[in-house]
Parts: sequence; structure tokens; C-alpha cells
Amino acid sequence: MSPAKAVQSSPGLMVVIVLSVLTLVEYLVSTTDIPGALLWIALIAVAKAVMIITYFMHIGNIFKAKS
Amino acid sequence: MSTTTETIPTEHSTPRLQINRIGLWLFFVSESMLFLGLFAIRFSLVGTDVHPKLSQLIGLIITVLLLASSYTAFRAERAAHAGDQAETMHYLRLTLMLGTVFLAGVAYEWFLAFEKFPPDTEFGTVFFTMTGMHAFHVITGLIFLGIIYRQARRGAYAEDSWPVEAGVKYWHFVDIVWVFLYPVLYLL
Repeated sequence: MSPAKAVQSSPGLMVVIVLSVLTLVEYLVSTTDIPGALLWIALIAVAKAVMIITYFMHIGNIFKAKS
Repeated sequence: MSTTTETIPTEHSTPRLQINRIGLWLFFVSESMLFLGLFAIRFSLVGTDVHPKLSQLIGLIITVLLLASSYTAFRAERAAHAGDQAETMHYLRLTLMLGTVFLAGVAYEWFLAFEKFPPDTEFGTVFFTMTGMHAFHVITGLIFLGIIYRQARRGAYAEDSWPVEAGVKYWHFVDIVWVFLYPVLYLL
């Protein structure tokens, strides 16, 4: 892969890495008895969804007429 | 008898792509209502209980696989917008592969679940209904992406990449549903 291509793909790659790490954190939070675990799990799930909607689904482009 | 012809104004009409995008997002909103209903049923039937025999490892692995498939789908969409047919097909293939492995994971989970908590138990009802409805969406997503892949092979998206964008966005939607379904079924 050329350096230009690597840079192009890196934002998406970073997003999926962060999503995977958050999933692991979610799992660890559920297995440990930390106070407010339910709230943390819910917040992590919402954060993951927002990341997918923003970076992968480009919600900001809904009202744009071009690709 | 006189006939009048009306000219449809095109200058100020909303561009087709914009209409398509708004329509697709409205479809996602309506689909979300279905899954919100299922989440409500889950909490009303079994509260926040999680079955102790539910395989946490399988749940974690298939979640990461589906997230990875969102990345490959994202790359396919970018390649389609850039007019790169080979890369579009490459990433669509990867997405189809990861989606199929995800489905195989769910199928295996079902195989185990029939023994541990059959569908006639409370948790079984919730589990099979929610994962079943999601798996149905995964299957339709795979069919959708499969058709797009076939069309991409024929070079159908050189001019207009909207079908690729729509298929990929649907796939991301399926991923988002699982992002909520995973903690609701496996972690709470």
C-alpha cells in the first residue's frame, strides 16, 4: 500500500480499532462489579453508535447533493 | 379542445441523491422502532437478567467481526465513490465474508442455546426473537451486498455509486443494531 493510500484508510481503521477496544471495555465492565456498570455499558454503546453514524455513515452528508 | 403541457421545474427541485439519502435515513428510523419494541419486550419479560450459560466468548468474537465488516464496507463505499472497481469488489468480498462468518457464529450460538435455554423459556423467547430478527436483517444485507457485488463486476457503478452507498449504509445500520443488541442480551 502506498503511503497516500495508508493515510487515506487510517481514519476508518482507527475508528474500527476504537470500536473494538470499547467493546472489550464494555465486556470487562460487565464482568467486574463496578458501581453504575449498567450506565457505563449504555454510555459505551451510545458512543459506539455515534461513531458509526458519524464516521462510517456520514450523517452530515444527508442534505448534500453530491457523493 | 386545447391541450396544455406543463413544464416541470428542474432548477429548484431537490436533487435525486439527496432525496435517496433522506428516504434511506427515514427507513432506518422506522426500522429502529421495530428493534426498540424488541428491547422493551426483553426488559419487560426478563428484566436485566442475563442467562449464565450464554457464551460470552462467542458474543464478543462475533461483535468484533461485525464491527470489522463495517470497516470493509466503508472502504468499499469509498472505492466506489472514487471509481475504483477492483477495490470496491475486493472490499465487498471481504464484507460478505465477514458477514457470513458472523451469521455462522449466530447459528452456532443458536445450536448451543437450544440445549441451554430453549425457545419456550422466557430468556429463550427473548434471545431467539432478538437474534433471529437481527440475523434476518444480516441475511437481507448480505443479499443486497451480493447483488451490488455482481453488478460491480459488470462495471455498473462507474457513473453512479449510489447503490453501493445505500447497501453499505444498510450494512452499517445492521451493525448499529447489534451494537445495542450485544450489551442488552449478553452483558447487562
